[in-house]
Amino acid sequence: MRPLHEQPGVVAAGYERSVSAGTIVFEVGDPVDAVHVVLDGVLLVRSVSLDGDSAVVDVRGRGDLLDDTALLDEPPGLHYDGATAVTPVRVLRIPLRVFDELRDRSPELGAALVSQLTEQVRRLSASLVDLLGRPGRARAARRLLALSDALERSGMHGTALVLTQQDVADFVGTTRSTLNAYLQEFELASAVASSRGRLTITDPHALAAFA
Amino acid sequence: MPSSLIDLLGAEAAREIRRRGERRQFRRREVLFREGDIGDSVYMIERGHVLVRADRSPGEHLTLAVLGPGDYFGDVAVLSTVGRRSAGVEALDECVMFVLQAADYLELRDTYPEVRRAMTESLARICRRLVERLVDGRHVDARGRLLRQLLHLAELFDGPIIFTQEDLAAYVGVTRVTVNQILQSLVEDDAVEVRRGSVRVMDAARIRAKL
Repeated sequence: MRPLHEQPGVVAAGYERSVSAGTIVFEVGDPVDAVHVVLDGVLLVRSVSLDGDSAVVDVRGRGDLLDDTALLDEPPGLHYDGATAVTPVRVLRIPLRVFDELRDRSPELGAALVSQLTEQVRRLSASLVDLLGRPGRARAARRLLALSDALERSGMHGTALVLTQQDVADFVGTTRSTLNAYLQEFELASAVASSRGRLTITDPHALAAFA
Repeated sequence: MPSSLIDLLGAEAAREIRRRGERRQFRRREVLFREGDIGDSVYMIERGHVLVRADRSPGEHLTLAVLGPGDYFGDVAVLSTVGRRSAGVEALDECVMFVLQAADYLELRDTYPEVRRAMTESLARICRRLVERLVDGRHVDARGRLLRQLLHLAELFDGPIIFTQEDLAAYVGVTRVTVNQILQSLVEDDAVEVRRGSVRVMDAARIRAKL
């Protein structure tokens, strides 16, 4: 099955937007009036719970849809999640109404969305199992590997990720200082390289040894 | 929550699912399949509820999701090249389901837009619940998570939560002893009623006040 951005009619239905690393593509409270399909690059998705807490919950890359809540029969009026580019990113923005018509017309697009959400359920489930049952260091390595996979999909292996240690800590589910200790270990193994506001995954295999 | 996925469909799609699917009943606590099993069928819940569980270590598991009427499961194995169940599923109460073989599932999905819509809807809802728990898991201690999930589960079941204390522990990611202690204190405050195999929220406002 072809990925979303290669589905017939998808590219023609939207307009392309290129943003630099660190750019917020949409954020909590923005109206849900369009969907975004990632053409290139990597983003982190941060979500706010019904109780008002927030955390980085997922990573998205080429071919992924950013706004899954827009797919609900009754989408919420406003985003309760936000997406931030951690590399240079190209996204396709498609007005919600146009996208809705397109997916009803195209069985393959509808099926691709089902597959995508199935994969997302699998990924979020794995994160939840990790969060509630796995030690912090392994969690940190696994979330960084998820970022590495997303880079790989855009052929961006080795590209510096523009994010703070707090962002990564929020994704891993640990404190910034604990994360810092893990990162130092990973750096000693030459698995990652970090500098202020930047993190490069230099050797995914070395990183996998911690996962 | 919709009464059944099939009820959401047009007459023709519903008839096709009924014709091709095998209507099966499952007893309370019956294991439908285990993580790692080979499987190529998809289940659509008509009546009843199931637990989706991931193994953490032998004899210990984490509940990834509680699914009910309107939801379906089993598609991860069908869509993946591995063909193995990514999680185990156990019936919580008496269940009635339509079981579709992979080829029929894929054909129905590709033929009927409303089947794709209903699947997308179910998956997007599951994602949302996973995200809620991921965010909770990062910010809230065991007690807070249990209180929040009791409120959410009470809504989901719209009545008594048909969970044992073990089920609650596996859902929230804490020990059964912790669950028992917290439930005892809630019972003393008349906030919940604990029966054998179920918990009933008597005073949601009182639980909310403790958060």
